[in-house]
Amino acid sequence: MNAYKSLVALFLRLLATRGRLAVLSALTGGLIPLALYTGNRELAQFETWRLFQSYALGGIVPVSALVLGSSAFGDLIDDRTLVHLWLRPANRLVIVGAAWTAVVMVCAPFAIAGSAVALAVAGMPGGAIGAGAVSAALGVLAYGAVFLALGLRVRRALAWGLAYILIWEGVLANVGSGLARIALRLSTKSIAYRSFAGAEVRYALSAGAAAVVLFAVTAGALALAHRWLTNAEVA
Amino acid sequence: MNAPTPPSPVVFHEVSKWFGPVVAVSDVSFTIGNGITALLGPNGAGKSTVMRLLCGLTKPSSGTVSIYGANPREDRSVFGRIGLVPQQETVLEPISCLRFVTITAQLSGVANPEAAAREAVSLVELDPNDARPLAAYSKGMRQRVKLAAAIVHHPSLLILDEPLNGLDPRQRQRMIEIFHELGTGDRCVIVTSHVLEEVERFGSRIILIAEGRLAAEGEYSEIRSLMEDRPLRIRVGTNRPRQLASALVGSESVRSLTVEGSDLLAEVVDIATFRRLLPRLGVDIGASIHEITPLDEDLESVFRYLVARRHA
Repeated sequence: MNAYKSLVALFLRLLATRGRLAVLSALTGGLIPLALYTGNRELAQFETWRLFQSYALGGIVPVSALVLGSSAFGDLIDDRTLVHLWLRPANRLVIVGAAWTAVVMVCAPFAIAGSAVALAVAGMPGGAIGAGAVSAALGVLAYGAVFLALGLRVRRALAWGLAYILIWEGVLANVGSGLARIALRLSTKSIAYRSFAGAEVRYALSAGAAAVVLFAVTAGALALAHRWLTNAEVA
Repeated sequence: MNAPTPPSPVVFHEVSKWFGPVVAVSDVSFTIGNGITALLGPNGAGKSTVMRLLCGLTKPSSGTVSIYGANPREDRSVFGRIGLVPQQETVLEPISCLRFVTITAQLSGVANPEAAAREAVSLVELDPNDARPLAAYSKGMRQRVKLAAAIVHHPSLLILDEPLNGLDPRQRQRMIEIFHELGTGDRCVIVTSHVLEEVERFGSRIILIAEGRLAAEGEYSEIRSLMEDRPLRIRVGTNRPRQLASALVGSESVRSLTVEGSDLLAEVVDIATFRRLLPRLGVDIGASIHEITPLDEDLESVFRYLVARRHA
């Protein structure tokens, strides 16, 4: 096993604590009653789709990525164990890449598979299930990278991340197109909307533009994480 | 043509470090060569900040730190030559000892990381086949795990921050033996401690840090004699403190005398003469002496004295 694989395995062990898995299970579990409710009520597809976008793309994806991403380095900084990985000549990109991979791997069964299962239970067609899974997956990659970097930069990254999700993405992004374009949620919703027509998304980007935004944010956040880890003041 | 002189393992040049308004290290300069060197100072003296500076874990506010001629904040390759046992007890708790040491070996670019990890874990007398997570390890065992991780890549500069904390006497003895083994040849071993007797057992050169400054440096015997030359404050419990003080006035072994209730506080400059004189004077004036207590045998007071002496 090389250093990268060993680090991924290490971060998986560090991240997948019982407490976090319970929080993510509870969060994702909320999708099933929602799916049963919409399935039983025989809501129009666009209503089901709207609910999915709000709860899964607006809640589960960013919150689960926040819980895991902010902890990946945040916990190591808090308990002062980062030094064991940092004071080594290894490329910082290997450490950042491994942490991000682990965040995505733990997040995926909840945010991506959970969304797909819920859409299937709600009786949505295959196109919607695929679109939901793809938009959730791209969201996990981007949010995971952003919150991973945030965990390196600020103390109480969980609180800052929640403030971003609730205040910026939840409130300010609805005020105008300029603010909305800075929110990742617009991109994930745009991909879902463009891939499977349903409930209209305000200020929607084209699917291509939204994907570019998400990939650019992912790459930028990982580059920042690399820079911040390299220049970190380690206790 | 002469071969170029290899750079010293550690060179601190006019290094200061402050955190906001707090000055942790102030204008410290020293050079450390191969062998064992102890960084000695009371808690809060700035030892850990010096240690972090020399590992590149933090950036100096001013001055330069050089490790084998490289700046550890800019040249990551020098980390391959550094092994650190940090003071904090925490390790990566959910994994086994062998896994932890293997990962550190991999990150250091060791060719056969698992074999190297097994060797290092065995050297510190832990079982490489112990599958328990590190969370189940005692403080002393964790200390040895950290040492195994620090030496797994055979560093030429080994830094041990309070390495004997939490070890029982047998483990302490074994650790000191290991430090001596590691301190031979072309290796530089730096040990931080706030316990003078601990440093004596390392038999090392000493750098004394107090209040963020370099208070003294030299061989152990030189530092010890510096300490023994300082005046000592002694509390003498007696039924006739004023009479005893009057009898002591004029003795060259005493610098000052203060009576506090039934106690006599003496600032003594020649402890051997004072010890001979005191019982004789007690008999002469009919005073019973029931207590003789040195008030400043602790390391803090030694450092205060050395810092004041340096300022003077």
